[in-house]
Amino acid sequence: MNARKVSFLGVLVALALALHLLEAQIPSPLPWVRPGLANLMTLIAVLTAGWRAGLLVAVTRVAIGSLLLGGFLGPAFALSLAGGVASTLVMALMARGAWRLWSPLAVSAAGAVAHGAAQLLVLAAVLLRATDLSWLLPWVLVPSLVSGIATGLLANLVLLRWQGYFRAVA
Amino acid sequence: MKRLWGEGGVRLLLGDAAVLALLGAAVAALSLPRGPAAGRPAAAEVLSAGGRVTALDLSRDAVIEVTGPLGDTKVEVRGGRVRVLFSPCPRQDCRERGWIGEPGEMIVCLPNEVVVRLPGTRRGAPDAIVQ
Repeated sequence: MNARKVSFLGVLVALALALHLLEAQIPSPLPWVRPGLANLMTLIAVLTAGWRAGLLVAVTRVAIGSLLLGGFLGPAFALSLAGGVASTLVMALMARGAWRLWSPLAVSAAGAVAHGAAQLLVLAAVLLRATDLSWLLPWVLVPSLVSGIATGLLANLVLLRWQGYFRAVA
Repeated sequence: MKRLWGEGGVRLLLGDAAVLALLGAAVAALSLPRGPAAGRPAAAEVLSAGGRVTALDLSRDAVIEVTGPLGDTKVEVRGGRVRVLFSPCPRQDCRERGWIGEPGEMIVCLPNEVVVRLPGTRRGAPDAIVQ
């Protein structure tokens, strides 16, 4: 990894953290529902610099974010981490078809649904010891899909507009 | 290639529609309530003196009598719910419990040793409310 790429990923982590902290300030009637804008940086990392870079951005963002907001290594941290890792892996798989079969919109939407599903799974299986939370599925997956589509459209726009920049740094 | 907005534009491909349709279908399928039995139990268990267990079909309206040490308790089924219609017990707590119909709910009559129980578990709700 050369210096240019290191600094590029550093910028992505910094932007992701800024969005992460900003999003945490927005009140929501369903506390787990977030716009998911921070995930935009993970998506950009995956699509321009590969899945390892994406995982790095996602995990670093979640770790530093929880250190800043509190709750590092706590239950909310476990949920964020599970969601971040699951969505990054799904996006990495989807990235293989990006710009050929589908656009970042599809990559982002699939990642967002994986994010919600993984969080609910960890909550039900690990944190609440096998509680049946299937009734929560629509309340988690529908907002996930909507935010994934919004983030995907934004990623599509950003990646096309700064194509030259990403090609130069990543 | 379809431009929607801005200088660089947004480039959507056919695969986007396919993936979104697939995800939408998956989310919808996972969000639908599972099976006709989800929600209400089909039968109640009636436990009476001496440990006898009787299954009570909730799809058929009926009044049955359960014999206990004090006499006969009348248990009524109507519209998928159960209640104690009459009890020979002194405090009448079981009768005042009223109708039950949710999984995990139960009516207990200690004096006449009758328990009416609906299978399943309750989510975050109180065990019973007696007025």
